[in-house]
Amino acid sequence: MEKQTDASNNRLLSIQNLETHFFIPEGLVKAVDDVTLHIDEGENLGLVGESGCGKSVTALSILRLIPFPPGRIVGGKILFSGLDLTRLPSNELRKIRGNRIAMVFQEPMTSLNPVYTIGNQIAEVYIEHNHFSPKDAWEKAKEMIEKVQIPSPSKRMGEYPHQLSGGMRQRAMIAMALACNPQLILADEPTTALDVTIQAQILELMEGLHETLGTSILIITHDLGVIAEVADRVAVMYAGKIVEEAEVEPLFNESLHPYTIGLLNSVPALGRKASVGKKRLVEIPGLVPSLYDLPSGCNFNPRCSKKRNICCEEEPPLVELHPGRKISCWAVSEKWA
Amino acid sequence: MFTYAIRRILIAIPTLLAMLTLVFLLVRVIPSDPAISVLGSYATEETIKALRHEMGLDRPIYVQYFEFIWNFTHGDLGRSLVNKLPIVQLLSGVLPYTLELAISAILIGSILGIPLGVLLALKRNSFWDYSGRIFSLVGLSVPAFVTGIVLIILFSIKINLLPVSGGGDLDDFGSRLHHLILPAFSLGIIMMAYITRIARSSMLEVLGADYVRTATAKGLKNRKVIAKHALKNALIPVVSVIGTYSALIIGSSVITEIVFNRPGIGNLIVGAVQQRDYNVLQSSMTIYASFVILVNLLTDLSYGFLNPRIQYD
Amino acid sequence: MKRETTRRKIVRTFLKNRAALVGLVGAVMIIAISLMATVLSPHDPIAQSMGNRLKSPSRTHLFGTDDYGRDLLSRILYGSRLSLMVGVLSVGLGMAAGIFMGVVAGFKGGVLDNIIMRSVDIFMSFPTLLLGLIVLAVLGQGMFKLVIAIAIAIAPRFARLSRGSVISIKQNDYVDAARTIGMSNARIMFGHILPNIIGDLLVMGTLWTATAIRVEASLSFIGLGMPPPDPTWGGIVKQGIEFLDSAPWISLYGGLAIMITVLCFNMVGDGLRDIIDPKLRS
Repeated sequence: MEKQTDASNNRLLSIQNLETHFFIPEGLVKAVDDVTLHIDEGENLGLVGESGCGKSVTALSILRLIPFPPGRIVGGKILFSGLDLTRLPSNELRKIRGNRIAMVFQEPMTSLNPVYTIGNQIAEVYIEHNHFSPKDAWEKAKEMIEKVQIPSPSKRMGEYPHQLSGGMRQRAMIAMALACNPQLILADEPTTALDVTIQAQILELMEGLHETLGTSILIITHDLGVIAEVADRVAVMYAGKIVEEAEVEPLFNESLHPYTIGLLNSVPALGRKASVGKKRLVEIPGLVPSLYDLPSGCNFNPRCSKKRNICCEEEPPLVELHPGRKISCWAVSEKWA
Repeated sequence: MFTYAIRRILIAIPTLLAMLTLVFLLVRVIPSDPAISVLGSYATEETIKALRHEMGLDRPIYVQYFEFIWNFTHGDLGRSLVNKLPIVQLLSGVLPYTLELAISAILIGSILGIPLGVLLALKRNSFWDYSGRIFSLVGLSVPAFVTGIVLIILFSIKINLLPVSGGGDLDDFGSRLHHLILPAFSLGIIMMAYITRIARSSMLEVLGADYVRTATAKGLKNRKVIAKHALKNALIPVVSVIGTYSALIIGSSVITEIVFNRPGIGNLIVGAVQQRDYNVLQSSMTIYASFVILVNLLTDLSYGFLNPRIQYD
Repeated sequence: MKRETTRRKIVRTFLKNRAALVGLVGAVMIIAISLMATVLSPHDPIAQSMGNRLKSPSRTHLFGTDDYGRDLLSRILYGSRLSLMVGVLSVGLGMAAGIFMGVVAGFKGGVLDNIIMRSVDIFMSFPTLLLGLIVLAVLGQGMFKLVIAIAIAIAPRFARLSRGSVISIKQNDYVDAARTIGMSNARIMFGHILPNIIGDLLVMGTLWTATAIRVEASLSFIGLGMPPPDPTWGGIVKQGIEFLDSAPWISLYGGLAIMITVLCFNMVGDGLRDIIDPKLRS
């Protein structure tokens, strides 16, 4: 089981048994169901899964950005350098947002305010947290724009989001996030809305900034290629729960959970990670269940090739096979037990 | 922005022309004869014909049309068929009263309605929100004369504070203001009902937008998120709609002038309808039409000013 | 099967909206009352009684009397018939004319489309009241003229709605497919256009009925409605203005009748729009 104690307190971010539920007319949706994760200083954690598995909600929960109604955090703790973010008073939380933990969102077009210049939107972070004067903040913002490699920074500062290309907008969002030199960045599908070629550039940028600034990144994506590029460790989510967690190489080379294996099998082999994919594309049969209508026992059991009887009756616990290697599956825990 | 403005202004011109044509045609369809209404139904054929000739009504219709348009562009609105006075004179006597009524009603509606709508959005589903929404619904269901009458009963009859009728002395600002308050509010309340609804729904939509979430995620103070990031975006649709509702208010001002017995174009029109005075009817309608077009133009321009996508395209 | 449950869901959502429910009950009651006006009226609405002038509300005259001694309640009941009839007929006529024009414009396209839509724009930029006013000035008084005057203001809106639908459907391939198997244009249009816009028609129809009733009251107030002694709500309010200090009930009850009726229809229309619009948007 988990080694709690001092280890969790020294971590940069420690999510413990997080429960974030949504109350909708159709029923109760447990978007995040007993999720435990951690990120250490200087490491990148990948959170991977299909749409609707709860990965974005997990990130939004960290900064308490869940809209209520209909959702709220109903249980668990989120420790950030010792502070429990779920219980922090709002004005304290505000000082952490955009300052020590920053978020990069998926759709830069809608996530940037269309009626203000991007210079204005980046500078205001400096004004708010570092109390710079507007003039100084503008200068710092310009420096940041240069750092994220947007060409002609002076010109771009005075432009509006609709005048920039998709890649530049995402760079602007990253600039906004990095402004106050945060310890942790939550990147929610940062490249999904972009063209493939731009995706590579953005990932390279993020990796580079991670190296130079030492920022930890929680990278959320459904794209395994992104994980392979950026993450040091990976957690796989399915229907609100963590099903597997490992360092990136072991996860790709010796994946254990049937869902993870299925995911990897459905990715065509590309480039230097050709060893990751198998020869044939195999899809995972069935559909992702609606979160208010989950099967009994293991959430994945209707689609699982290794299904046993117990899988339909009891939910498998998250078991740590050896340090850093967790799995939530009856079939696997049996084998290793 | 410049091309946008020029385009908007240029479009206004043929629109105005088309409205003038429409008014001209509509008025010409009147079956009964202004000559008869002046002379009485016992006049002889010859006197009627002579008067018609004098009024210029026996010329071919396209001649009358071109003369109408030509004169309009030169500021000549013709003469009243009934009392021979130049219409420009008739109108300029009453125009200030109508203008001040319409403009103050539009301003009252916008200046009170926008903050109210925004506040209701921020206090969504609270008691105040429900009351505000009911108030809005009532406000836009009620005809202008009902609000006028209620206000009269409250403020002129129960409390003898404000005058019931008249427009006040043209030269005395205080007297004009005194006579303006009740009518302006009776119209303004209706405008406010419309604007509050739009402001509320626009603000609600903006509050759910991604960029508002980003602003919160950046750790900005809640007041700043709302006042800076949400508000400006919420105002854009509201401004573009002020023009539409202003047209409604301008139309309803006729009613308010009747209720409060105010001098104004509205009362002029009613008289012209009863007397079949084509010319006055036609010219008054065109003044209203021009006013509507002007307000819409101003609205379009402010919209372009607020929305950077128009400015920088 | 699926359509049934969606329909039921719509009804259920509507019923949950309290304001819409109240509005619906109110509107139905008002319609019922107006249909039974002749039966419900305690007195003859045009019977004068000079000894009974300006009596305040009492047991014999629940709403009081006007300055001709006529029973106000009866006048208001009879007035409701006119208001509702004008309201419903003008919307019906405006809808029919507007849809026809819009479908023709959208289908034929080209110059005809341009002419029709430019005219629509011009008519739409006139305030409804002014347009009605000028048309009535031209046509004279009478119920059908009232209906036509208001319908002229309403038709352009429906023209725009139906033309938009036609344009978007024209772009669909199945129109061409239908034509190749010999379906007549009319069948294509009405088979596909109408179901597409029926939600919007319902919402706009209800809201415009509210507006039509309000505009009719305003036109009657100005004096362009039915000639006396026929009771009209607007006319009643107008008469009452002289007596706001001595007999405010005349104008107030008249005004109340108008306000409540228009409000009910607006509440129903709003409720319908809350359902139809989000569905359409998603």
